[in-house]
Amino acid sequence: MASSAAYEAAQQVLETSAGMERWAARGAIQLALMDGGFESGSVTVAEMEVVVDKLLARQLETQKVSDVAGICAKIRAALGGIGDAPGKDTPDRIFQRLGKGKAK
Amino acid sequence: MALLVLASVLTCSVVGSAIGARLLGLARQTRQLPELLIGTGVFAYSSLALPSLLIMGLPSLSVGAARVFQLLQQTANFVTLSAVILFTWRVFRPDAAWARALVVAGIALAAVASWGTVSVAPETQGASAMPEQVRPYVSLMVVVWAVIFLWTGLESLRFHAMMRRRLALGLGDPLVCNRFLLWAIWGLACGALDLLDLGYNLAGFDFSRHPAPLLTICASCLLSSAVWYLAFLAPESYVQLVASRARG
Repeated sequence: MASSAAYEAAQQVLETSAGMERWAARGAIQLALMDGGFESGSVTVAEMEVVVDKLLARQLETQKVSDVAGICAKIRAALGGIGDAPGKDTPDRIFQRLGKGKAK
Repeated sequence: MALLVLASVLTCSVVGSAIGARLLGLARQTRQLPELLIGTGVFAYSSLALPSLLIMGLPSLSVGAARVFQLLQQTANFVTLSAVILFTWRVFRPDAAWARALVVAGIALAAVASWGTVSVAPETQGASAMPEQVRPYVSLMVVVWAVIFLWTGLESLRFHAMMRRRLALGLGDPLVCNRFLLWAIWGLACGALDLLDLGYNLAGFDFSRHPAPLLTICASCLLSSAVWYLAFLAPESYVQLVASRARG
């Protein structure tokens, strides 16, 4: 399954700014996504922003990455410059449609 | 017992027909395959398969009419099974080769089981007892159903767990999370009931008279009615309950 634009952007920043190997960057993001209940192929920009703030920062700290706050800021900036690819039909979007309404 | 079966089957038939029709209406609006598949499955089962099953049990039914309803019931059952397995593949594993193989195998085996079941026509008026030569095909059909139910239940349970993690981050809709749980409960419970039915069939129970298989029919009908209603046509009070529980 192809990764989403948000996933690719975060990975790019980790490789270029944190000096992480490709596999290490993907692994760190993958673990953060799993903790948040997301999949690499469907995570959106808005969801990735929350994952970066609440989960990826902690993940990078455990991997002894330096300047975690700065790197997360760069990821957020990178995410701000991209948009989601249109319309991948994920299970949560399908189950959202099948119901009558939305919980408030 | 007969009244309980009648009440539960009728309840499921009415509730399922209404919900199936709503999902088909939704599919007409959205032009999306998942709602078309699940709407077709729920509607065919509730409005064709279940009523046919009830009618076939009528003692005054002629052999010719029983044959017509037997064919209708098996066709609707096959359509439902195909729709549910295709829905599960399309929603949860659209890119997985193993899932495509499972769909093809499931539909092919169900076709064999349906053909085998209808190859033996009712022989005497009011004879609702299952002919012995049909039992292997019934076992095959029950096994295919059990696999599909357990598959869809486990996939939905996995997504329910993911949605709970999203909710902990303040993302996602608690009602959708709950919908995954309801679908998982339905799939896993119906899978377990099917495995019970397999045991009853292997033990040689008469499905139209023995209380044990009749109880599983009641349980699956009542469970399906409740789950479909709460998942796809939830009343406002249930929506509020789920939302308030999510807020803690």
